[in-house]
Amino acid sequence: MAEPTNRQPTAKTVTLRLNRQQLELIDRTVARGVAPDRASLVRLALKEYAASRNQPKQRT
Amino acid sequence: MAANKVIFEHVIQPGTGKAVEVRAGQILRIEQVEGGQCVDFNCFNLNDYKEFMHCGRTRTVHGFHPSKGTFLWSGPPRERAMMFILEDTYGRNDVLFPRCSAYLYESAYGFDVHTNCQDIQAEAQREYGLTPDDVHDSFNFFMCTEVSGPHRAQITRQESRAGDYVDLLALIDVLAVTNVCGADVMRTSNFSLKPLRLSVRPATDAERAAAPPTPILRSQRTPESFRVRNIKADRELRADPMYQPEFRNVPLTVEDVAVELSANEMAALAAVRQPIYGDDDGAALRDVLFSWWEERFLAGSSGAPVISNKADSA
Repeated sequence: MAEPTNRQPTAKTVTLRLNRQQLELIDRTVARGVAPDRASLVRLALKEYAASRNQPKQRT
Repeated sequence: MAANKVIFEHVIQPGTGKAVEVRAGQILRIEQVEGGQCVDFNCFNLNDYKEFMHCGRTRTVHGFHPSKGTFLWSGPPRERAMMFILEDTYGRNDVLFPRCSAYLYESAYGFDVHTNCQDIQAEAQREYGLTPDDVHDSFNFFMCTEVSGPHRAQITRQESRAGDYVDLLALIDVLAVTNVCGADVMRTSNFSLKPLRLSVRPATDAERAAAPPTPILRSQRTPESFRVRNIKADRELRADPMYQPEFRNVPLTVEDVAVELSANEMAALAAVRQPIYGDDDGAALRDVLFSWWEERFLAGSSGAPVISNKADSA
C-alpha cells in the first residue's frame, strides 16, 4: 500500500486505459446487471475493494 | 460392489518400466509390492501421442500433491482430463519434481550409467515407437516432497506400505507408462528400489460415475483446427517463406474510460493503491478494478482453469 500523505484528496476524473479484451469483460459484467455502466462499475469496484480492506480483523 | 475382473497384470522390477494400453472406462492400478517405492508415471492419448499428460497444468489445477478425486490433465491447446484418480490409499504424490535423468546422476554422483526415470520411460515407450525426446515430466506417485523455503522444494522419505495403491480411471484411451523410479541414492524411495504391480480392469458403473464431469469448452482444440495439421517428420527447423502471422484479437486496441471520482473516492483509492503505479491514478484504479473482479467473480484460484460447474463468472 502507498505511504499515507498529508495531502487532502480532491475530486478528479481518472482515466483508465483498457484494451478491448478488458472492456469485453467489463461490459459483460455490466450486462448482467452488476452496475448500470462502465464508470459506475469502476466506482463500485473501488467502493467494495476499499471496504473489504478496511474491515477490522477478527480475533481468533 | 465387487470390482470387475483384472484383464492385465504385470510386475515391474527395479530399473524397468512398462507401457500399457488403458482404454476409456478401464482402471489402471499401481500397487506397492514391498512399500516405499516412488513411481514415475506418464500417459499419452493412445490415438494421438502429441496429446499427453501435462504436470504443469495438473499442478496449477490441483496443487503440488494431487490425490484421490483429482484429474491428470493434458496441456494446452487440448487441456482435457485424461485420467481420474479414483483411489489413493497412501495419499502422497508429487508434481513439483521432474523425472530424474542420466545427467543428474553423472553430474551429482559421478555415475556414467545409472537407472534413471528418463531412460527407463524412454525404453518402455519405445515399444510404441516413441523416442527419448517424447518423454515428458512425470507424475510422481508415492513421492513425498515439501516446499522447504521461499524458492525451493525438497524430497523427503516416504512411508507407503505393501499393498498401498492408486487407481487411475482412464477417461480417454491412453498409453500409460509406469516405471520404478531409478533414484536409489536419494531419499525418494528410502534409498532402495522395489518392484511394483500393475493391473488393469474395467471400471464398474459406480466407479465410472465417480469421476465428476469437466467442462467441454470451445477453447479445447483438436488437430482439425490447427493451421499446421501434419506432424513434422524431420528434425531441422526452417522458416516457411509463405508464413503470414494470424494472431487472434490483434491489433489489441486500447480505449480510454474516464471515471469521475469524488474526494472520498480518491481517498479510498489512495488507501488501497499499489505503490508500483506511482502517480499513475489510471493504472492504480485499473488494478483495483480487476483485483475486485477476481475476488468477486473468479471461481478458480489465480491462473488456474475452473473445472467445476460452480463458476459465477461474469
